Amino acid sequence: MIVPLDLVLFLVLIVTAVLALAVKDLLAATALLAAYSLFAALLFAGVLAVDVALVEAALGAGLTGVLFVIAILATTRHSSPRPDARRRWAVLPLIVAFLGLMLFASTGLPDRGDPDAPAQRGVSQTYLADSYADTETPNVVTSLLADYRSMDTLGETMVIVTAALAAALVLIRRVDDPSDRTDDPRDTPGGDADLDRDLGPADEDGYGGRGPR
Amino acid sequence: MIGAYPSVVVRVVCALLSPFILMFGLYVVAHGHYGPGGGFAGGVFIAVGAILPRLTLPEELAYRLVPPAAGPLAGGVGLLLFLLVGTLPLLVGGSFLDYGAVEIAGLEASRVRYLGILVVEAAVGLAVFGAMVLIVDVLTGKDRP
Amino acid sequence: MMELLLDRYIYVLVLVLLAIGLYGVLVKGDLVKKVIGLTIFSTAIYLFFIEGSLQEGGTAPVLMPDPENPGEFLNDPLLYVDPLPHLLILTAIVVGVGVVGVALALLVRLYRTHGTLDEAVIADRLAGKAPDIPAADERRDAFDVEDAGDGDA
Repeated sequence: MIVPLDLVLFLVLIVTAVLALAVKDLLAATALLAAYSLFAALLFAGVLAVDVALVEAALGAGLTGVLFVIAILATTRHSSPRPDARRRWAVLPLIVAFLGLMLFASTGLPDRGDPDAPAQRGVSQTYLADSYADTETPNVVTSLLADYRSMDTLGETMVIVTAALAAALVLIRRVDDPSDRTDDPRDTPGGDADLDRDLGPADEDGYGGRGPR
Repeated sequence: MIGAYPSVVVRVVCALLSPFILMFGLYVVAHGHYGPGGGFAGGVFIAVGAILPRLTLPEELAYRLVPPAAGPLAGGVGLLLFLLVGTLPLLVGGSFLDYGAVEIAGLEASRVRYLGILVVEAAVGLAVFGAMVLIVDVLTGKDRP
Repeated sequence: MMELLLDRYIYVLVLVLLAIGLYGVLVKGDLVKKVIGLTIFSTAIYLFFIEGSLQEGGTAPVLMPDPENPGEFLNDPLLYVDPLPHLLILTAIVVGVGVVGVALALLVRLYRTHGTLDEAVIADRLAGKAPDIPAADERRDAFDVEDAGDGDA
């Protein structure tokens, strides 16, 4: 890959990431996050990870943005948290320590693109050499995904179906209770009670079950 | 907020675009053997083809194209299909998910693996499609008609 | 240190992205911003993995047809980059979107219950320190006013 282009893409990534966290308007932050994912997809394509670039462009830049926009439209668009300077000063040393530790650790990593790196000399050699004879599939990532490491893929598939079901369980409302259609738990005496049953007794506020705090 | 979009340009363009995105998604699922693509990317494209009408067209129309039940149904069917394909070699004495162990007359083991990969990709695509449509449906709060 | 910056600037840049994401998760008070920080953090990890799969002189891991024997494919491992990290990150991206979906579902649920996504306010409510949530219609009016006020800012 052309090195300066690489560097420029990384700088754009850093700028979009900072802006996505800094802007007050959450829809603008979502747009910046989608741009961040799109530039990451370009970087993936630049280092020849074509499958990853395709998935990142479709999922990271496309569908994640849609999910964020839907959630923001269902809640609020303005990010207005109380400024908490104390926490910022408490966390910054942590982040600096994390950075220092990781920088120290990265000195032991092999150079970029080194063909003799330990990761390159492992089982991937076998996959590349045998893929066509074993599966008649020129795209080695596909034969890895669905044949050599299909147990892995089975687990991942289960995870995303479970994630979707979990999201549904968090948000779904009862069919037999028309009053539960409103967005406020206060005027649904029976509506949220059975959701709270496992958390503790419902209190008169309607959002019962004191949390762990 | 979600539903018929006020601008007719957006509505028409999205309605025209949606079938092509679906088509491209099917192509990506089927083309995973020879180029970038496969179940995950293809499933997402198909899901986007189904979600686009939900964001722009009137609700009844969008839900007639892809009903809300499609999400959980496709997710479950995809996962089950994957598990069934994995169990098939067990019945003939192979190990779990080792499609090559299934003997089909006139086909070499590598060809059987090729077909097994195709079925698994389709199953993964279905599951991803279902999961994404379900997540979008519950987030928009339109999870039941 | 100079050697690190000249030869391995990729690692340093990935670390900067990781730090930005970590900052978002730990410091931001708005819960949506926290999820955005989480996404930035995980994408930085994907970048780190994929950069590690690069191999000088290699091409994309789709086998090239052999020019001498039609119907055969070149399968010398030195010709291609390492496909294994690609597979791992491919599935990780999909799972990451599942995580974002669940997180956003929880956020929408929190907003329905508490009427805000400010972490400090919600924590105070759960600890019983903050005043009672205002009645439903009152609350909605209050937020409409607030939205109108912030709209032109």
